[in-house]
Amino acid sequence: MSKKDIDRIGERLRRSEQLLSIDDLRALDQFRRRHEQILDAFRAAMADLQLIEGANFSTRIKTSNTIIEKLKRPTPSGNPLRLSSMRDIAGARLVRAWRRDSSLPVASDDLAQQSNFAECLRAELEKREFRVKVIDKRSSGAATFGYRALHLEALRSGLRLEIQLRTTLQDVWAQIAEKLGDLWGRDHRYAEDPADPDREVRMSHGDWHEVDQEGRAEFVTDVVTKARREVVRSLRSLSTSIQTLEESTPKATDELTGELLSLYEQFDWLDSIKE
Amino acid sequence: MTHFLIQYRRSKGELELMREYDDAHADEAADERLRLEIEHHADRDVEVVIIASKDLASLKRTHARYFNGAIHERIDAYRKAAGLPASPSPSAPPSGSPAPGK
Repeated sequence: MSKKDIDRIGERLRRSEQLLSIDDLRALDQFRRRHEQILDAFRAAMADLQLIEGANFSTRIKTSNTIIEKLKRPTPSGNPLRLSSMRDIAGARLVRAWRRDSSLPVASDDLAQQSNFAECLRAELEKREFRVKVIDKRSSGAATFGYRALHLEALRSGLRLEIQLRTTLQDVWAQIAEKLGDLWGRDHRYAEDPADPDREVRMSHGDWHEVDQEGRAEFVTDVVTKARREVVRSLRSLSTSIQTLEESTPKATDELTGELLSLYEQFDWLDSIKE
Repeated sequence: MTHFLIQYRRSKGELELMREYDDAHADEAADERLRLEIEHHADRDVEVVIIASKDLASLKRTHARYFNGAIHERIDAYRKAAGLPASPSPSAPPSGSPAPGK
C-alpha cells in the first residue's frame, strides 16, 4: 500500500457521510494493522526493560471512528489532514511508570522525574532502532483544552508510534476530559469559552409552574448547556492548577484531589439529567 | 500481554462487550474487531478497540473511561493514601447543585 493509496482512503473517509463503505473500512483496517509491527517492537522493548512489571502500561491502534473524526476536523492551517500524516495511529500510554533496577528512574510522578524518565526511555528505544523525539505538552497555556503530558514520537521502519507519559494527576485529569468527551461530544476540546458566562438563568424556581412543557424543556436545556460549559471551563482551569502544583511540589495535595472529585461528580450528575 | 477487545457506547459511557485474547490469538482479536466495526458501521456512537495491557487492573488504570467507577476508584485510593474518608456516591448531586427540574 503506497502513501498515495493511504491518502486516497483517507480522502474517501473524510468525504464519507453517515454510512461508511465496507470496502473503505477494510482498507483502513489493512492500513492500521501495519502498525502492529511497531507496537510489537515497542512491547518487546518494554518487556526487555522490565517496564511492564509494576507499570501501568498499554498499547492500542486508533479506532476507525476517531480516525475519521480527526480526518474531518478542520486543521489550523486550513489544509486537510492526510491519513498518512496522522501521528497517533499506533499509541502507547504509561502512567507513573517505573522499573525495578536502577538503570531507569524509579518513578515518574513529578515533572523532573517524568522528564528524566522520558530521556532514559528515549535512549533505550534508540538502542533498539527507534528514532525518538520528546514532545513536551505539559504547559497548559500551550494546550488547546488543557491536556498535559510528555509525549515521545517514535519512528521505526517507516511507522510512527505516539507514546504518552503521564503523571498520576495528568492522567486523572485526562481520563475525566476523555469521559466528558464521550458523554458530551469531543468538540469540547476545541470549544470556545461561553459567549456570555455571567448571564443569569432566565427563570427562577418560583416561575417553574407558570410555563408550558416547551418552556420547561428550553429552560432545562439552557441550564444544562450553561452548566456544561462551566464544567469545561473549570476543567481547563484545573489543568492550570495542576501545572502550578506539579511545578511547585513533588506530590499532589488533598485539596486538589478534592477538586478533581468534585468536578467528576458535577459532570456525572449533569449527565444523569438528560436520561 | 492480554489483548482486550472492547465495544463501548460513548454517549452512555457503557462497556457493551469485552473479550480477552493472548498474544498467540492477537490476529483473531483484530479480525473480530473488524467484524464488529462492520456490524456497527452505521452507528458512530459505538467504539470498537483492542488495547493490549498486562492485566485488567492495568487496563483500568490507563483507560479508566471504559469502566464505570474506575476514575472514582482511583480518586478513592488517593484519598485513602492521604488518610481522607471515601468519596460520596457518584450518583448523588454535588452539594449546592440546582434542582434538575424533573
